[in-house]
Amino acid sequence: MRTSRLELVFVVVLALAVPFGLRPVASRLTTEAAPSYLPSLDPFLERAPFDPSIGEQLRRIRPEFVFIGDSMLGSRIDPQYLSERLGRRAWWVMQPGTGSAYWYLALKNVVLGNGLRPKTVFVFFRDENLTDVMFRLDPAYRWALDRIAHDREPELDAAIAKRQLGGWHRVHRTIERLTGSGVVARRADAWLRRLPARLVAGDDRAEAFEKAMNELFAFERLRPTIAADMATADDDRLDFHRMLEASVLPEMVRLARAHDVRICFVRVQRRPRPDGPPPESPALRRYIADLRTWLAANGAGFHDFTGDPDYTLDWYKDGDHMGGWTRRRYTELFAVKLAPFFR
Amino acid sequence: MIFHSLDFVAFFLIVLAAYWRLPHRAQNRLLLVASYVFYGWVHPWFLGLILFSTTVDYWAARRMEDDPARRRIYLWASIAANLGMLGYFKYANFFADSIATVLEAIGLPASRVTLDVTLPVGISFFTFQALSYTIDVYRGQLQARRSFLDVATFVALFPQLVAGPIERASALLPQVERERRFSADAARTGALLIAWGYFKKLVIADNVGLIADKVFAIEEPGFHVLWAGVLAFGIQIFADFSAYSDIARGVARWFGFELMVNFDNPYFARTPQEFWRRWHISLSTWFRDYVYIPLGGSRRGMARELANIMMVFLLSGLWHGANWTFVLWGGYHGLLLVAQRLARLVPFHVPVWMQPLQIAGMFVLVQIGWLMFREHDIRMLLRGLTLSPAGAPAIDVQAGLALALLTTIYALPLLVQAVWEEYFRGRALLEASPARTPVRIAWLAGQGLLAGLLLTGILVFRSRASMDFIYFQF
Repeated sequence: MRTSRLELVFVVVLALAVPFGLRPVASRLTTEAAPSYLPSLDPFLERAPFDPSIGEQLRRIRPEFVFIGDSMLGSRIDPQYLSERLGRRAWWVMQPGTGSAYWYLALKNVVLGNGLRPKTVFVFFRDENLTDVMFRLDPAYRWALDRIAHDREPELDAAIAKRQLGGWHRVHRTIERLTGSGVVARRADAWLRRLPARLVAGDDRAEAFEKAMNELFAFERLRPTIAADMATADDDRLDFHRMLEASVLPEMVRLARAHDVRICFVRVQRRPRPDGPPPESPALRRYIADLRTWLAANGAGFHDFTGDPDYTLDWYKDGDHMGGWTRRRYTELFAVKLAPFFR
Repeated sequence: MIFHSLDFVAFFLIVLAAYWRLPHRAQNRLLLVASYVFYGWVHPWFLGLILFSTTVDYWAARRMEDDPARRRIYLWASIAANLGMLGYFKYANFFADSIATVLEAIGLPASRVTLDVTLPVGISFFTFQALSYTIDVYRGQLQARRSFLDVATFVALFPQLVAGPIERASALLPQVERERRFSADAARTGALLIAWGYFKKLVIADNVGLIADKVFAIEEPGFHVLWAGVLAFGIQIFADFSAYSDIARGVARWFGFELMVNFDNPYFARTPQEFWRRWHISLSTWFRDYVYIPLGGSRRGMARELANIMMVFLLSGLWHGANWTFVLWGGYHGLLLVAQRLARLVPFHVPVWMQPLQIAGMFVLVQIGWLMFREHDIRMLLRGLTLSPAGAPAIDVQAGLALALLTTIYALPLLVQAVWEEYFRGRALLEASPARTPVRIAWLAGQGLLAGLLLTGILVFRSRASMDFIYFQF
């Protein structure tokens, strides 16, 4: 009996010890890594270097109006054309595949961190993206964030930490820290995700093939019921005030105010239906109403393009992106519709 | 409560620590309370259902013994209570909707009524388990129990309460009643089962499940993408469901119980009959013993036998879900068995070299069934079944191949395990207990390393999207 129990303990201890074999692998993978600027997300971070050229370009232009956003901004606004129209300097920090974490760092490190004090900063976003700090923080998108992040980003890290509270998460993080499994898992995940594309299309065509695969599963190709289900599922968490607490939005507004910069948040219209604006759930409408009220109370601007009859389906190319042919027209209309922010 | 949650880990450790400090009767009381906490964790009102089922079955069984002349009435009372409850919570909307559709089709006015009913998890499992008790007592194969506590513990035993295996009263009740001793050997092999179960769930099922979900979410998948998605679902459902059974068996061993093996490498089956001897064994044998044989089985001529097969499989399909596609899936498997039964009329010896082909052929037939099972939209199902590979665009072929490759990579551990068990007596080896010291130490080290590798695999390759066990919905 005693022997059996010792054997049980031996097997369990051995089983629990094996994952620590990942530590040397993790150490090897992280020898060249910089200290993590988001310890809540990654105890060990292999990051792309900070890219000063993004800020240098802005410093050269010294724009009065700065646009921040992802491809929603990129497919809608032509800053050079806007500069010509207004006769005043406008430029952007536009990076496709980003979310509010990136937009916050763009404001803090690229715009204000370079000593710029534009008259207005416009931040483009979709629906609840502005308060969803985890949006586009996956390893696949993180490289963009690395390029504008400093060695420490405590405010952003704090917001992420608030989103990740919970017993399971803490246990999980502790295990990752002790075994180094997080680093290995991220590397393995990236390798495994890319492997089929490499096997099927070859190394040189893997990226193009992945892009084509992603298009096969794009939102527009979903069954209508699934698309509706996705919207409903997302609705469960659409509580503005709860999301606000774990977001960088208050910090963005505070920073703008502290540097005497006007900030305006621009909600783009998602892909409309052929016969009208895009569908919105009651929860999303409530969320946007709360967002509007909060921004107004905190001295920030807000403009919502959803339901604007000027932007019909024929303006759109794929998903929520607008066609390249509409950019100048959109930019012109933007200058008119948001004229007070250009004064 | 779900197995892959921190809540369950804490729950398991607390209950286990208390359990082995108690005498036998107190252990049963603790098990019952723990099982009710486990089941009512999210929706405490579910407990009312399990208590109702237990009380009715306890009473009916007692009455059968006290009043044997009317035991048939008590059996029907038990069946009506359990199936009535199952019917209301699982099938009310399905039947109402089906009747309205039929009425509309023949031009009669019909109002579509939708009841706001939440399907209690595991209701299909514990009602069937409870019914096995009253039916066995009715048949005289089991004595009615005097202890309500023991019957209630048997019905609600938490490791297998929500998704099986569906234990027979004749196998589990005696284990509830007898004194149990902690067996370190059982706990050790139980730990291996738990580790393997978690690996299958978190690494295999949840990763390939993402592939299946993506494919079944798109409006018009091409031939290759669709069947890659079906393959992913076939792997997902096996890994997911067998994972639950393995974890249940492993957890039960820590409490001194031995639950039945529910899966025996079903994708190595060569015939439909063999598949059902290997897949969800506890349900297949339940239907065999409590439906097929009472209907006459194969004793009343071939026509009746074939009709019985079809009846059993249509019911089995309906048990899986309140949708005609599940019935279709059951009917499809029934037809495969009927075809096999008819094929036996022509004597034909399958040479050994053809066996791999048989396995491959059966695997394809099962995958066709999984399309029916996974696709809930009849229109899309017909589209899928009639889709042709001819003229498919290159991206469809390549994407299908890439998804199938990724699925196969994730499924490799399943294949290794199946080959090991099928051809190298893996299960017996794992549970063996070599006596000679050096061999034993090496063997124990091997078990520890295996469990450790599984844990490492979970840490590194687990899916970022955790899903519920599929069979929770049945």
